Amino acid sequence: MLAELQQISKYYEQPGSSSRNQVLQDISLQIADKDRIAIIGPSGCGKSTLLNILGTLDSQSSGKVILDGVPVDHMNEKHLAGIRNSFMGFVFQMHHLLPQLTLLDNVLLPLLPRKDRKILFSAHKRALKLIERVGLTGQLKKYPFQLSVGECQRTAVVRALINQPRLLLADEPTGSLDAVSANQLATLLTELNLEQNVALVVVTHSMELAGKMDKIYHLREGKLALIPK
Amino acid sequence: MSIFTLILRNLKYYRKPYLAILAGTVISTAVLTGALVVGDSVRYSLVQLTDVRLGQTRFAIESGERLFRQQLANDLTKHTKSLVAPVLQLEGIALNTDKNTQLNRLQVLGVDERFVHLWNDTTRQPAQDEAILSLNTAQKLNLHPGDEFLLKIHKPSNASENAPFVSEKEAVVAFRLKVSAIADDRQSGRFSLKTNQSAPFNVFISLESMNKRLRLQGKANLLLIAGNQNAVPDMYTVDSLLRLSWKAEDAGLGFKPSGDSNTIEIRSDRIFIPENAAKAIRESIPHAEPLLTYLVNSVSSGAKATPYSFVTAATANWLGHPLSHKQIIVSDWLAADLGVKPGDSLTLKYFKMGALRTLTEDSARFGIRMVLPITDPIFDHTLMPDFPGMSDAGNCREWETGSPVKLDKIRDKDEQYWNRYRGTPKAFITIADGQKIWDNAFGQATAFRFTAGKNGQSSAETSLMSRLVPAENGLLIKEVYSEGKSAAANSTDFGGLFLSLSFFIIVAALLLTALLFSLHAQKRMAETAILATLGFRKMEIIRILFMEASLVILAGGLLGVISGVFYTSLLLLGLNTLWQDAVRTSMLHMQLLPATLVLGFAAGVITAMISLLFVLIRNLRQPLTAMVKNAANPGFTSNRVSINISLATGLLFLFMALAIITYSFLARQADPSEAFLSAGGMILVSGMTFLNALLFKACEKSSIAFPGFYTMILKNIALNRRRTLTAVALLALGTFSVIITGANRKTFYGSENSRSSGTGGFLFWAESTVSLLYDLNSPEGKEKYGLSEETSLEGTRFLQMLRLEGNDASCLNLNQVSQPALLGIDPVYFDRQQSFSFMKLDPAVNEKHPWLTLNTASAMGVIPGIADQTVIQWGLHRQVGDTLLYRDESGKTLRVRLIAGLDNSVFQGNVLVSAALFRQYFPSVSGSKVMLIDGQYAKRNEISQKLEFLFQDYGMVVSPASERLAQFNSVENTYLSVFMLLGGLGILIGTVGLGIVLLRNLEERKQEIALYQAIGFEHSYILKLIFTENLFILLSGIGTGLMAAFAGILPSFFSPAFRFPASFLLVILILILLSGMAWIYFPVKSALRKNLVEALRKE
Repeated sequence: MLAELQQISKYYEQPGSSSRNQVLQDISLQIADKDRIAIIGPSGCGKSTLLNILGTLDSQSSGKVILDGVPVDHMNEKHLAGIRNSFMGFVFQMHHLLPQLTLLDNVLLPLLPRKDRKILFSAHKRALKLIERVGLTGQLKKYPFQLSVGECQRTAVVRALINQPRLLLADEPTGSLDAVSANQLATLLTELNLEQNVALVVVTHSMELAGKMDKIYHLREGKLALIPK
Repeated sequence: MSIFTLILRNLKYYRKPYLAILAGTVISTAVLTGALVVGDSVRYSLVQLTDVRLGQTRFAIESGERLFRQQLANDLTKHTKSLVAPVLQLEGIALNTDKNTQLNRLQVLGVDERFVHLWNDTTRQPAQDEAILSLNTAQKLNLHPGDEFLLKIHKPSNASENAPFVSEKEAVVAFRLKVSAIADDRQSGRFSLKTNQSAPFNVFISLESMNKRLRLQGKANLLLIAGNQNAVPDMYTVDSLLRLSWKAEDAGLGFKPSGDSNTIEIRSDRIFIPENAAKAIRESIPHAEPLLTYLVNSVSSGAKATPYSFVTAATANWLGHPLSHKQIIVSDWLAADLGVKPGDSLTLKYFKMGALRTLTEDSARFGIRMVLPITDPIFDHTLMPDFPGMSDAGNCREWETGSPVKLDKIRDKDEQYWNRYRGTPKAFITIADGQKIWDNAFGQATAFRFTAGKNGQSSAETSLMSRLVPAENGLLIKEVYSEGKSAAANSTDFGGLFLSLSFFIIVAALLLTALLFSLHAQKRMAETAILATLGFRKMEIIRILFMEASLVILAGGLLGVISGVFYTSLLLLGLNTLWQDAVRTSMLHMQLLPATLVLGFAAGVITAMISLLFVLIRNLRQPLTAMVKNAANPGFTSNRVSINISLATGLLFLFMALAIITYSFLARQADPSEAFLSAGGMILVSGMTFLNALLFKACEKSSIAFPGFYTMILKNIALNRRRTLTAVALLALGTFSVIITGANRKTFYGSENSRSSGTGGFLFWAESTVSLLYDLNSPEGKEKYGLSEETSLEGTRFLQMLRLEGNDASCLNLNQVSQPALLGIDPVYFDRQQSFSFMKLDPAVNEKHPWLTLNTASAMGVIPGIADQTVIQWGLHRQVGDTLLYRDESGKTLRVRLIAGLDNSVFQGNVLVSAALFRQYFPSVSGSKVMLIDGQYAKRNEISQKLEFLFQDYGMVVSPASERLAQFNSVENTYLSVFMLLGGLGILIGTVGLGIVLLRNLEERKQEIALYQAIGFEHSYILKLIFTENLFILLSGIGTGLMAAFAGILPSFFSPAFRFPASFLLVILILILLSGMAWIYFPVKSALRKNLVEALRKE
């Protein structure tokens, strides 16, 4: 199994009271290679929290996160950073491209700590290919403020894929796009899922995007339920 | 809702950033106000000190070594209707034998009840055999009331000890006294006529008792005139009243009948009648005949010689016999002794007195005009002047002439002559011949004689007194009180000094305030845009924001003024204690003038408002669309033109700096420090513009190559280019100023033996209380003072100097001085040794031999002088080429033209003139009390101990020349310490600025950091990335400051007296670096601890 959540619960202490705000309750989820999963639910139901726990950006209150068969709960920050860097990629609602970097620089940003020239060289070639794949070759030297929002988001997707992750986590990737750009991005994500052999977990409000996934889960009152297609 | 309500709500909502802006304004206003108040306080304290120093004294009449009647005080009181106190003021040495303490160069004051009245202190008067000590004297000698001590005083004499045939007997009188009381500052403890804030060492004894001890009768040499309650007399009135009150005796002149009752003789107790007095005599009594009687070593003809005879020069009229040039009338006694007759010739051999009693024997030949019997009336024994040690001698062997007498030459017949005729002249020459061959600076006559009828003496005296001018005859009137007040009012401008010392801290505080406001304004850009979309005009928006900020600034200004008062009290506390080296007093009190507080408030508020208005206008220049997006334009645009302009500006400033440096080296400027400092400033600007170009370049760089770690850093810091440049500028300025001050601290380890250093390569500076009359390098001098047998002193050379007392113009004195002490030196010696270094030379001075120019007087009454450049500039507020006015001994104006400025030297506070010219104008200055000593460095301890032992009775203090220089340097170093402290505070503000920039950047870059975490950057890597970015800013600031400072201190590296204080500066740099790194590390570390993931979900 590529990734597995076992009985994940998450609660927050209420400041000034002994009660807790239970966000996630005994959630289990299994993700296999090349899976396409959508998680939907109302605002504030804990979708992003669940995604962040899966992406090791947040920690659960109880339960286990197993990535590639290895529990990550007791891993130190250095190991977790390594996993985020090479095992998974992230796409957010906002593109979060760095304004001081060009499109290409932004794509190559995850490789900044790497020193191996071979890896860097192949990553550079891959970046150019991916950029070509998403139709941004002509914009290589442009800064984010010179690109459209859709182009920025596509760049963010390429950045997420640059290290050939096995799991791509997307948090409302189309949330800030117009309908046309959102549809283009949704298509792109599904295509890349196949082309790049990467499992895709998308948290979204968009039923259109969710509809392009193999499985759709509904998160409601802390519980995750599979919606049959 | 009114605009005012909106402003109040804004202030409440944005209280945190406004509190920071308030703090910035408080700092700059407090420092500004503090500097101004310090200036007022120092000036006020010095003015107050004049009252403490002088009591009710308004005028002083001083006669130095000359003495006048105490009665003159009473006579003057009758005319002035003011209190006039007679004082006998001399220098002394005090010893507390019980505690083995000694104090030299004490001010010993013989006073009576009138003196203490000047301080309204009638309770304390020194009684017979008792003394009142000033507080510092008592403390230094460890004496308490009831204790006894030994006092040695140099006995004054009307006859100059430098004059021919004046013996040096009884130079010092010693006696024991009991301490009766201690006089503090409210009493007369600080009495001094010298304008100086340092407390003098005073001993007060009874005037009567002092006269008695010194075997004087009713004498004084100082009159203190109190202010009259009804009207304060002016200088002219005092002079007029003095002329009415004084008598010939006060000018040292005496009338007495001579021979028959019709002949009156005028003599001077100075032996030779000074030229001014002689001129007055000639004018008032035209028929008075001058007489000049001189002791000749021998009168010889062929092989025969008569030793030690008096010869008188007189007019033919007085002689009643014809006598021409080169002719001589001899007594029959002399003619018989030499076997000569009219028509024969004879030779007179006589001594002429040179510097430091060096005698040269000269001779002159005369033809005998006639031989007269010794019974002739002209052979009058009263013609011999009253040489002390000679006129009262019982026989020739008891003579104490002040010149060597070879006793073996004195024959029995000479003794018989002395017994029978005393000092009766044996020969006469013409007055013109006499005045030519026995020319000296003391006078051209030893007596005047004239015939007078009944009441002739009194009418002649009245006539003479109408012609005599007190100032030309030794009695100088000084307007001490108003001069003291004026010197204090024009004292070192501590306000300006502290403003310049605080410059960096003020600039740093203003930059910080501007930076904080800029960040605040940027944060509110969207709000600004909303106001604009609601129909507010830009000017209205600026007005609202400016009014908001103005309220904060006004509050800050008010708090700043209050803080400034506390800050001043801290500075004054520092000056009175820790930094006392700079002010030499602990009597500085705060003076709060409303005008100064208003000025401080206005200056603080206006500067802050201008800087904020500048920021506001600059920020609001952006288009509205950019503002709505809230800083959508990250300043990350660049073009070739921007880079080229920056590069060109940087290169221009760099070349200008290099050109200045090269020119200064090639032109061999005497004082290139200012040029190098400006070159340093240009390098700083150049460094900043190069950095600007680099940041522009980083924006431009958009190749398809992979971005490296350092490119990433440059791009990150270029994102907020202006913030980065402000932080770098703050740090660079701070480093520049701290290094410049630190490196310019005066140290001279290992260079003290260098001839070109401030010590001139001399080992010691020695000062004595009692004058040394002989040349210590001559065999006679060595013999006289017992140096001949001392092997440890072999090879030791003494450079004795003549001193005219004056006010201390060194940096140890805060008052503005107009007449510093004059030192007569031997320029040839300094020229030969190439001693000391010059900072500025008058164009007329020979550059290769500047010292020798001192020997060339350009006109009568004008002599060249040299002083330390710092004294010329700061102490005298003059420049090279200016003239200082003095009064010479004859009361005439002496102009000392400053021809050169020395680099910091042991002479600080004095003006150097040629000793030869000095003697011309001040012939009475007896001997030397100051000297420089050359010797073997290895034997320095032995030499100083031996000299202090041998000259114990002269109150000699031998101190290493380097120590004296260090004392002066300590003042400058103290100022530099203050500057460094304030500069350090400025750097602290600079690093706070860096910290604020960083915190703000971190706040703005939350999402970026969260992204780094999301894409798998380790915490340590993110820390490294952001830390290195800010380290680059820190190092750029320090590096730019260092390079600029290096250029600024370049001349010091080529100065032999300079030693680079590397360790000191290293410590300072490490401290700046550590402080800066701490300001970077902890905020970044703290930011990384937070969970930033939420930031990725929020816009």
